[in-house]
Amino acid sequence: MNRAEILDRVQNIFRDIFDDNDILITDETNATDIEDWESLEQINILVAIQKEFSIKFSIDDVEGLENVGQTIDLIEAKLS
Amino acid sequence: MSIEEIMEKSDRNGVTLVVGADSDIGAKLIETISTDVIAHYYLSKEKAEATASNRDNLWSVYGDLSSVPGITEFIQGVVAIDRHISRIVHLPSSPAKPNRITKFDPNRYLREINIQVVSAAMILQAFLPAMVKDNFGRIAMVLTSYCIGVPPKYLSEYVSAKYALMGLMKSLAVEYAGKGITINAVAPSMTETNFLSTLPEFEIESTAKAHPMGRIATPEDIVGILGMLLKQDIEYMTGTIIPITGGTAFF
Repeated sequence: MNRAEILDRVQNIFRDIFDDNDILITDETNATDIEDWESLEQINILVAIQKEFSIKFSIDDVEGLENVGQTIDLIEAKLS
Repeated sequence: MSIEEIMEKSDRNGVTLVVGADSDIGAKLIETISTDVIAHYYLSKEKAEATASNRDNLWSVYGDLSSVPGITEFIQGVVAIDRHISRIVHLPSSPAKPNRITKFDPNRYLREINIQVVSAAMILQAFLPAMVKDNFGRIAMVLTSYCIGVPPKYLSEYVSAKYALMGLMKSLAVEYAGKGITINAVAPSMTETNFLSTLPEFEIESTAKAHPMGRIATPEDIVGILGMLLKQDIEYMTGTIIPITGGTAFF
């Protein structure tokens, strides 16, 4: 699975969680760009990603994630 | 008299009713009670009866506490056993599920209120009068450390149900003070139980990592204090909430 495909699937997760089909995410997208992206949504996003890609995160994995790009990096690392 | 002497002193007879005995804390509690026990279960009869195979003083009663008819049926099942109940531990609850108030579901909320609060009120309504006649009763409830100080975000349904239970506990403690009956509660922080199945592992790891003791609570941490609240000699403490948090929240 290439990076663009991962980004596309993560984007669908964002659209579902924020109930907004117009959301477009990039590597630079972070919590300041999307209204309502708070701690609860961050957890919901990570849980949905775990399910979508059949991977599991530890606290060390998810601590300090600052934007979508770092999250995609993490997914790629988990899938490799 | 030291705590050790109090704990060792022989205790008053009577049956202990454990409501929510098929929870991890309930099952662990029953292991520590050698006297007669009536164990309420909903999801797992096996768990509530885990220690029943080698004892003849444990009865289990099914009860769906999510509705008034279900609670009534459960109470009738307990009454049918025809034993005097001297102690009640009340710990039924659904797992806390984070949600914004915009996702509030009134039916889910009413179900939770029934499970936690209405069941406690109806069970006490049924069994407190006999305790008053006997001039002895010990009631222990399980709240949450979220009842201490500032609660976390997104748990309004869970937290408000626990606050309602806390209000019931305090009100009844006043109502029954001086009648030989104590009504107290424990307020544990995040505990290693099947309740955590609704939370991602990294969230649990995060809580443990941030805790001064480097771990979350275990059922054993809770059971020891619940057992203390059931002792005959603990008679001068009522309406109290004991934090079991390892130092993360207290009064």
